[in-house]
Amino acid sequence: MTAKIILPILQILVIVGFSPLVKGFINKIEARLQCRRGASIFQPYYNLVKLLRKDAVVSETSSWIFRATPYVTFISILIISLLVPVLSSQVPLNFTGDIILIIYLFALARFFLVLTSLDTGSAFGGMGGSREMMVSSMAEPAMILSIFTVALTVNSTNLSNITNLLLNNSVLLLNPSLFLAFLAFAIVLIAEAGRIPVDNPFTHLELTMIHEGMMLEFSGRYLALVEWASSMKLLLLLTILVNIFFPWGIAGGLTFSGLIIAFALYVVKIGFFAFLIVIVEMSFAKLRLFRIPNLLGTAFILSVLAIISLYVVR
Amino acid sequence: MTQQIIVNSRTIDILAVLMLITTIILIGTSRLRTCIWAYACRSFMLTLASGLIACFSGIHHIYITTGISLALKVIVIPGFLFYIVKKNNIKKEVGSYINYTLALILACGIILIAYYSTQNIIQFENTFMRHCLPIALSITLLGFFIMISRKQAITQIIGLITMEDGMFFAALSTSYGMPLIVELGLFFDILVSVIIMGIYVYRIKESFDDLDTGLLKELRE
Repeated sequence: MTAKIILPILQILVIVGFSPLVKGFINKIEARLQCRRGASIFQPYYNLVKLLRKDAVVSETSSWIFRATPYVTFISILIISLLVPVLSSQVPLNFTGDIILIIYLFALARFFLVLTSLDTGSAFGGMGGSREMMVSSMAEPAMILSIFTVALTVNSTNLSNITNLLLNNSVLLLNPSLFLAFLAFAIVLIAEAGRIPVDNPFTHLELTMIHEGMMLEFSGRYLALVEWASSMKLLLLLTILVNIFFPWGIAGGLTFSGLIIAFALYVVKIGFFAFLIVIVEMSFAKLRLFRIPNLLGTAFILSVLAIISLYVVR
Repeated sequence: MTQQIIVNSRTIDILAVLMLITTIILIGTSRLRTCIWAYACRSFMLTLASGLIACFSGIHHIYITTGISLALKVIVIPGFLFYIVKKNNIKKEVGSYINYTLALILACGIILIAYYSTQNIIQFENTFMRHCLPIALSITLLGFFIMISRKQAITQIIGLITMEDGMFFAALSTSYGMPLIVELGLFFDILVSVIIMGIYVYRIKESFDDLDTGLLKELRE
């Protein structure tokens, strides 16, 4: 019984609590590699605290959607954090949904953000929203197909089952189809999280921004919630990537020592992939908007190949 | 023991998939240098795969072909291609008759065809390396595709050696390579043809001040 209470609390603590840290870590490493000193690792926390203290300014022309969006976005991402195996392969909300629900919850959050960007009627917002939709219309199929490849390998769409089976049967992981799916998912992760080859998370008031464009009208606690949600999204995508394709070390049950080891390995794995994101951001320039279909098309093709090769060679 | 065999063959399968991915990169990129780098990377994977196959099967002459392919395909030919690019001072992006997104989709179709057409063979195959034959076939077809879809002479050369890579890999993965003397002949052929084509590239550049092979049509009358 206590396990059933502890696990959700632990997961929320890890995902909600550490997601700004991951963002800070990425920014810090990137700054160091560019020979800058960079802001402190904890800067995203300071930003959030400051924003939460401030008043929110809401445009008079906006409707209830504007006020609902930050909560819808934050809560849908929060629910995802209970659907993903983080430290233990058991999932708190196992009984209600699987990988398909996760994809739809991401879509729900994005849908409301785009609605809000249109709601206030600002030109930047509308542009950001339409671009976000363009990117996601190409990233989502690739994400779905690459996750389904994993689901087909173990015959289950339940993330808890997937992690468990892959953990106990590591030979399954040495599957070329899974390798293709992994690459496709990695490209999609960069697009969905709005990192550099697709979107630049640091730009404001530029014609190139995608995700930031949608958030321009938010202020105060609304902005805090939306920014927190976006950093949680990055950490959640990393968690899915890490725990599906490299499940070693994740605790099978709920013992104290198992969770400690799982946490240590989780930090190492997430740190490694965050570092890889930094390397990618350092070595590529942001793509022109009309080159993005090329990159995401590659991801889509890789995921199609993954699923087809799985069927043919099975 | 069987576990070991599965792990070995899966490793080679993954290398094969990596080769396929570098070929896809080759098709999706418009930069000449990236093309040559992708080719060098793929040759390195191929060499690694052939070294592993030699190691797992214990057939000694594969080591020799591995060594030659390391020297030739990973070092000499990409080096020579870089030399041509540098000497002819080629800065223009590679032209293509179709746009790159469409090329990627067509490449995907070609790979699917390769997988489906080998489906019946690989089901009865004894070895566990089931991804190798379809991937070798698709690399061969993709090489052909590069040759007909690109305009520039150097990318067409890369298309040709891509085809050869595919055939080499097919022979290696299905029957542990051809007899040594045939392999040696093939390597020599490839080397000579690349050098001859390099000279042709130079001549085309001299006559037309461009590397677009479409310009050769002007030679008619």
